[in-house]
Amino acid sequence: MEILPTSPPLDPSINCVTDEELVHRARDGDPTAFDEIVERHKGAVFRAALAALRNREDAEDVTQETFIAAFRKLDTFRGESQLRTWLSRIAWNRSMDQRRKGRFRTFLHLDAPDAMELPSPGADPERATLAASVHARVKREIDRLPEHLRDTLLLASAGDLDYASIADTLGVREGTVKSRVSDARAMLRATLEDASR
Amino acid sequence: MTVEPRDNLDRAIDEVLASAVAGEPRRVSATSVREAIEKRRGPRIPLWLSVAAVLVVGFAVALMNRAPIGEAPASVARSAETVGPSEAPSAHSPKPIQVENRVAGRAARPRDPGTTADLPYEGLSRLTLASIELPEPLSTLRLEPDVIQIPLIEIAPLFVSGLSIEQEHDQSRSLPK
Repeated sequence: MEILPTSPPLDPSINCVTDEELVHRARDGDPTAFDEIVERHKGAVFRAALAALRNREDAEDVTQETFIAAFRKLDTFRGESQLRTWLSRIAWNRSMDQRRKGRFRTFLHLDAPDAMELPSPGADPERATLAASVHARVKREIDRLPEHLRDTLLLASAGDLDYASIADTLGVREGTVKSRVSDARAMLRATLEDASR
Repeated sequence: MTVEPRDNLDRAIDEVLASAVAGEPRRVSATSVREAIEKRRGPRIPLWLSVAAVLVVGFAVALMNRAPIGEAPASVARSAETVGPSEAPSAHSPKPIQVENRVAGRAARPRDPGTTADLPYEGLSRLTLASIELPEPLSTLRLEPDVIQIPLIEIAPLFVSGLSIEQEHDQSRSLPK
């Protein structure tokens, strides 16, 4: 499993401040407040972009652009949705723009070798190989899903947004999100079971 | 190919999905975002202030250009006196050339200067060039030839500073008187 750097521990005094208060402080020109917003939500924003672009480098670029845009548009944030949802929507829209323009780098297909997990040293080699084979198949089938189902499923799998927030980010109704996730899972399961027989 | 149990399949789907959208950004941080914002930040002057500055400068330039025009009638009158015709214009002489200052594009056609007071342009600066009368036909006969006398030019005695006083005396004695 790839080890990724984690965010440094935050100052407890600012860690307890709500997003709403941070936005107010950032609007008043407090640079540490916006820094805290970045550190608090960069992971969620990155994963939303990753769900759309499926390429880490592109997702990093979009994450950076999202926070720059958020800083400029902070006055337009009305607080009608959560700050994380608002940021994720910016990231999603920017990712969609990038995807439409075709500026993104080569898709990192989910079945690419560098995206696969290596078996742990202590595991049974036969079982590890079998698991890797299953994972490769699952990745391939996710890649073949219709775009709208795959996007919704990956965004939901990131775990940062609830269904209502995903609906807000995608600009669809919450029920649509639920049905898309359900349909995508059912389609995956059926395809993989067919392939296993 | 082996048949996977349903729960194993679901677990495999969950694991793959989780790994596909897992992780944290490596390059993005509060510092990197702040630096990018600072780098892209344009001029710190607000837009309305820059527009106002441009308008003030433009107005000042317009005023500077307008000031000499206001003085134009007096200077033109002076020049009309100096370069005015010495004799009555002949019947073939062309019509007097009249140029008006087209302030703000209002003067579309030449007008009689005498009627300006009746027009709504009263008070606006106006540039009027005096009429130019050309001698007909063009000739240089009016130049009267005369004897040119060049006054006597006296040239001071030449001397070289390096010479001795005696030599200088000798030199001055040798000059024709």
